[in-house]
Amino acid sequence: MNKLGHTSLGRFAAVTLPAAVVSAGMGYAMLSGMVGAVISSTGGFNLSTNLTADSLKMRTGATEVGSAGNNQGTIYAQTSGSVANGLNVVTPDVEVLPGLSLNLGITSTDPAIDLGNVALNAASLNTPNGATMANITMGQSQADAGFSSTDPGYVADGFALQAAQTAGRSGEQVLNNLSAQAYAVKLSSLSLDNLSIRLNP
Amino acid sequence: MPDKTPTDTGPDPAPEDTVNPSASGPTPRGFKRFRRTRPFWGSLILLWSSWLIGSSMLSQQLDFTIFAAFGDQTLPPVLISFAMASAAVIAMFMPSQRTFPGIVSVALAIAALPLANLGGLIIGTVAGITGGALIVAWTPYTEKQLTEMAEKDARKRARKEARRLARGGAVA
Repeated sequence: MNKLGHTSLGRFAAVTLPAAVVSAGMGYAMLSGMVGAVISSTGGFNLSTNLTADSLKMRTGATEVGSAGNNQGTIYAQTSGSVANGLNVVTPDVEVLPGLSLNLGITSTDPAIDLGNVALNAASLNTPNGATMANITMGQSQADAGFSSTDPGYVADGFALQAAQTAGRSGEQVLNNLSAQAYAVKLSSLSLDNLSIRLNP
Repeated sequence: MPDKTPTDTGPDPAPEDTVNPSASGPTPRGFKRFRRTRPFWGSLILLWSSWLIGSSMLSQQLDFTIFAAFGDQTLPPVLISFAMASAAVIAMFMPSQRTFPGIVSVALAIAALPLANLGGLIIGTVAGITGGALIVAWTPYTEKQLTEMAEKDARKRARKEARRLARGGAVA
């Protein structure tokens, strides 16, 4: 038989206070660029920015969905040496309590956000104002572009686009007003000026 | 020589109900007893935080998208959420094993900050730390504490009974 019990305030403080200190340290590390942040959602979230990168490669394909013939097209893009001019990420609504839904918005007007290596898994990727790329290789096999063709659950189309970096030059790949319906993005840091993280009801 | 054989006094009397250590009246029964014999609120808060952290991956379409998003970037929210939910269930239904799941869930709640949508809208991390700490902080009363509280409770009831009798005598 279980005994009646109570909550010890001393033990509660002994766990909570160190955890709060570590959390604050983690938050500081993220905001100062030492730790990256991953934003992901199965419902997709909106991401918009002006992106400049040293190199870019992207592949199209499909993700297996249970039974054969029920695949969903996706695009997977990787950039290196990425610098963004402004950033806006809005996650889908999460029902925090019945009748109360919130979403997370991360906005920065920093003109030179150092994102480092960005990996983006998205349903759509648009640059309505055009894009400028150099050293483009089209029609390349995904393996030649450096992608693994044997990722579990992923059906490769055998096609990849690659825009390579010219030796000694940087920022050749420019994607203006990039907007994506993304499933996941890894931001190397949140060391942004004018950063705004808000919860929107 | 007198007969010292003990006489049969009949069946043993039924044991008295254990007194509630913190309130007058008998030991709580039913849901109240369930709630007070385990880290109930800590487990509930931890379960809620696991929902906040994992909901972005689990609340939408579970058919394609859960697979589409699976990858090294998107597994952590799911794993953290499941682990925290498991810890909450263990603490709720196996309270004797509560300490380790409680500590692990606090660590996971902190790890969710960079790995899972800023810790499930940040609220998830705060709730995870609170729930895990409540689970670790919950502890059963010792026998000594139960005895002391039962004695205190008995004295309190005796005083109340004496006052009632005194009032009754004054009226008569």
